[in-house]
Amino acid sequence: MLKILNKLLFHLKNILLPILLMVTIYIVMFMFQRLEKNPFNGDFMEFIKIVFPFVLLIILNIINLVFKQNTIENNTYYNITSILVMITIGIFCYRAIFDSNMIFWHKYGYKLNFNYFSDQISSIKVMLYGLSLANIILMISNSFKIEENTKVNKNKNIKHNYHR
Amino acid sequence: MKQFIKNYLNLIAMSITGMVFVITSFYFIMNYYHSDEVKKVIYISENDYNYKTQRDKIKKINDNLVKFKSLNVKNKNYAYLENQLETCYNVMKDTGSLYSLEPNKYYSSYDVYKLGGKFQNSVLNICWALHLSYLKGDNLPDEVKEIGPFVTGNVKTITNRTRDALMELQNNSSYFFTTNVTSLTLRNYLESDYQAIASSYNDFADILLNLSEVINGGK
Repeated sequence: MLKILNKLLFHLKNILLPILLMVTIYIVMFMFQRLEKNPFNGDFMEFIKIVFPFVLLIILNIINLVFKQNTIENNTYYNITSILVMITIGIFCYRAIFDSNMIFWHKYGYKLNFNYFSDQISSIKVMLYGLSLANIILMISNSFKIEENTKVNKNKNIKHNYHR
Repeated sequence: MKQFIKNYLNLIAMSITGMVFVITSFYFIMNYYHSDEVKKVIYISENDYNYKTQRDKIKKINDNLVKFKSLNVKNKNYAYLENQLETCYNVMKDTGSLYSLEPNKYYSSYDVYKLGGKFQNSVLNICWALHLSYLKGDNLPDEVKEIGPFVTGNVKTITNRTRDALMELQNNSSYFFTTNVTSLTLRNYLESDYQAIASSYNDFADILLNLSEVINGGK
């Protein structure tokens, strides 16, 4: 049961993250347009600073997926936290695009609340960098397990040769 | 040793995940609370004090202007002021103002913001700044010149009050937790901001009524 839940959460996280990245880029593009900034020219670094935490976590997720790292895939606590982060970022994006009760949603005529979203960017970064850091540490911890396994296998081989 | 390092690394990773969990839960709950606050609406009834008294005053201004016209006053100073007051009367009755608001309905924060914006853009910028701010001018009746400084002081108060209410309404577009003062942005001030804007309309109607009574008294 727990294994199925972990698998579900792990893959849901991998699907949600690129979608959220796309929505964030969509909002940020309008935000840059209003501030007369060009994300592909002069203000590229500013754009990268917003997008980088997403890209970093996507890369780490791909590594987890390709190398099938059990400590992350079977870690229910980490997976639940990741999903909670995705849902919260999703709420940020949803409210920036659709919550018309906030005055700034109407004020600049873009039907988007940049003011709200730009205030949430720092918290998005904290959440995503936190997840990335935890992921990297779990990956290092996972590599210790592989070494232990190889050590056990080596011992087994020695014993096997001795009995021969 | 390796087992110890592995356990220790797992502990660090779980601690970081725990911190992320706490921060995320906090933002999750706060977003729910904030969205719940900003979607609140207010009910404006036809018996609302500012709405009702403002309408009554505007009707009285109209009566005074009609009365003044019927007197056929030749003094051009009075005629000049009457002309200015008529413009202001039309501005106060314009669509989007408190006078033209449909009563017994619910209004959102954006509706109240538009009401305040209309007051700033039409009443203060057109009626006051373009037509009535020259109350110290030579071509005005003496009675008006006397009350001129008081009116100017009143308008200054009304302007500040409306600006503050509009800024408070704009605060609902986001929330901050950096200080205790800014964390107040989470709360809903729609009712008090509406009252501030409606009382600005009411007070300005009061000024116009006083001026319209002055021109009738000085025939």
